[in-house]
Amino acid sequence: MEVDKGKGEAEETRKVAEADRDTVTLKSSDGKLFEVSKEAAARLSTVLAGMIAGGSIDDNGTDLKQIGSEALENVVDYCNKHANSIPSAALISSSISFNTAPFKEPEEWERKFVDRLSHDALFDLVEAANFLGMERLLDVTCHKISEMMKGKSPDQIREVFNIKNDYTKEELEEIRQELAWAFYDD
Amino acid sequence: MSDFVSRQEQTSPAKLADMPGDHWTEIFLHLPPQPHILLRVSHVCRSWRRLAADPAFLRSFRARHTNTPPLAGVFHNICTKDTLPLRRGFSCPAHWQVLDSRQGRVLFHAVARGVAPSMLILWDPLTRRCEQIAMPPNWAVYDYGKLSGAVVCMAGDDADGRHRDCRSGPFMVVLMIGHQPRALVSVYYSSEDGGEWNKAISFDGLPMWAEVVPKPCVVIRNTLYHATKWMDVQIVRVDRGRLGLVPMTQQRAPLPSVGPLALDKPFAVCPRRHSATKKSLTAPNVTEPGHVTSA
Repeated sequence: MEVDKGKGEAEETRKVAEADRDTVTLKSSDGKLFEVSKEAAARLSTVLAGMIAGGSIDDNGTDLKQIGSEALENVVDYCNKHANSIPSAALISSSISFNTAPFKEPEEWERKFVDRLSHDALFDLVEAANFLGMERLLDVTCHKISEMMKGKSPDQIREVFNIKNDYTKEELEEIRQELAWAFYDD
Repeated sequence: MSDFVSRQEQTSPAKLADMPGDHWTEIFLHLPPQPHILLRVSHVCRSWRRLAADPAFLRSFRARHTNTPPLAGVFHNICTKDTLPLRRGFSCPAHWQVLDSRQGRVLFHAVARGVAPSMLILWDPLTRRCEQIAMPPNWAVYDYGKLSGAVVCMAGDDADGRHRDCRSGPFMVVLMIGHQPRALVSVYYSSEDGGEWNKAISFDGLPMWAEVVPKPCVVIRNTLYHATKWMDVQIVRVDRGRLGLVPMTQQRAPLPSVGPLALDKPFAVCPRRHSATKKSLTAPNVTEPGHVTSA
């Protein structure tokens, strides 16, 4: 979806075209341009919806300095895939922050979408989704990461997420004794 | 390809350092509700322990997973098998007997004959808060009768049909005291300013062999199934004002899970929603002669 905008393009012609355009152009932190359907962007991202409504979309590519090109490509890919799937009412919501509604399991295409991502890409996507106020994408990515912890011991979780164990040996032993039952197999 | 696989398996350290706590909190919200999973998570590192123990997070976690707290175990007076260690620091006096443990609360009966009046004690294992409840006013008459009890959450459902937080919500204690041929059922309703024993019904037809035993009760919607020896008794809560008590006609009738109950009289089956309950429940035989009389 990367678009290479020709510099020689006449300003006037472009402005006329922009008015009728049904896509918006987004610019990643490293300057790459991506085009995404205006309708999908407004529906899936509260931040983009606000920008579109407020007219703060830049025709030359709206700067999203916090999002790298790889993450933005995934965001755009998600929006396009979402536009192609049948939207269900439960997936459309405007509130962000702590979501206490029961989580709706990822659909098949959403599962496939996150399954192919590397750890780092997944974490980048969490940040991008959070930044753009894309609640469903945030849910789906966070759900995927939480699944990586299932059935694993604390040691295994540390290994997967590359986390340093900062407990002292004594503290660990104390917790282990107190909560011995929690560390047996599932 | 091998490079790709290794990236799939581990997160790079730089990426983790960048992840703010908010994102981990969001991720933890997606973990399954079983309590041991959050415990494992808090065992990973200090910052995760802080996040997983944060009261605001736990409220959201419970709200998201809804329903009653997951069952981690039960409390019992006598344990013959291996028991799980209780959190350090809790031991109860020898004269406390467990009557019931349900929905995050434990109900004890403290009997110290000749030393102190007997009383009920409600304990929250998570906060370790103890609450004393005096016995019902007419309890003395039955002092040597056998006793069983249940503590039941009354938090109800929210607009989406999800159960509210049990532990902070209102509750009731249902006490059944038997001294053949009479059985007495008293109900205590909690409230902000202390709570009180509200209603009592007595039943004069308890057969000689139907001994009240301190066994756990089964609560299905607004019906409580008490097992006496050889016989089951149903206690039905209609609303705050009325109670019904029905002995099961068949000895040791199996507890119905769904569908109409096998009783000698037509009896209302309690629908799921609280709002619907009031409409479709007719008053059961509360004043039916020979069956139940109001005390």
